[in-house]
Amino acid sequence: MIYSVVKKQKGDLPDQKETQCELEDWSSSLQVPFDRIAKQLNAIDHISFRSVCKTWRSSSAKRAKIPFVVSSKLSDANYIRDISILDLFTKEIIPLRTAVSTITSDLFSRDCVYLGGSFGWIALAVEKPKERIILLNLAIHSRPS
Amino acid sequence: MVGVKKKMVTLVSSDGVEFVVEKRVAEQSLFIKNALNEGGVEEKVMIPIPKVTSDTLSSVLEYCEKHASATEFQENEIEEWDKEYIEKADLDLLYYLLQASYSMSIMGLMELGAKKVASLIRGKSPQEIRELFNIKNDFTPEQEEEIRREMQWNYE
Repeated sequence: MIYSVVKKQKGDLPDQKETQCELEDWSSSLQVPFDRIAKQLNAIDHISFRSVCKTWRSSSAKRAKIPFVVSSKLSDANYIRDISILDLFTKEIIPLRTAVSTITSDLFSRDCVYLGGSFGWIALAVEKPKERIILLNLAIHSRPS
Repeated sequence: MVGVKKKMVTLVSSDGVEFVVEKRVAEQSLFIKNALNEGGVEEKVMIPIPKVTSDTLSSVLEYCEKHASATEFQENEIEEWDKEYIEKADLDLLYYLLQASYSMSIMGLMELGAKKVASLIRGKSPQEIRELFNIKNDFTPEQEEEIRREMQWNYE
């Protein structure tokens, strides 16, 4: 043990424990390095991070780089089962199926064909129940505001 | 080091508890290192640490103590230790550790805490994040609309 408590006394300041019985409010403080936290997050988590509250939103600017498709997983019938994008900020490959599961799990369970991608847009074609084209937008958050 | 008396400094937490630590341990904090350099004298050994309570400071010093001796360990041993150290911190302590590492300029601890928080955020929706961290949605209707557009992924 290198350190030791020599003298315990109540200071003039109130004991934090007594005044704070609730969980700390993570949005209230500017004394927390939120930008460091944001840096660790990929493109998709970063959007969620910035959508939590004003403090978090202002702590980290919109990212300017557009992620692009690097691979797609196909079924035997060449229907799309997953699409992965490269996050240029974190240098991480993100499978969309797990990253935005609320949208993609439904999409990729359908008979979906990959048409192409450009500037952060991904075009998919669906045959059933009716023929139509779906555009996945990965770039909207990278437009200058 | 043999035969040399270890240089000690005393850190005082915001609730008035004094911690006597080795100078090299305290100097893991750039804030303290600078304070000691500016003082320039060995006599200046009482350093108040504002806004950091004794509970938090005790945990911070545990980190500093380990990292002051980092050269004695393999790199992966330190990594393993860091992992266990941050794993056992609950959300409140994590919050205090981030605040303390920020104000005391302890970069390693700040990165460690930030990584831990990021790992808790990953894969969650904004509302799930708010619930976990006890955060109120304080956006204006205009901002809400902007966010809604950002979160919208598909167009049919």
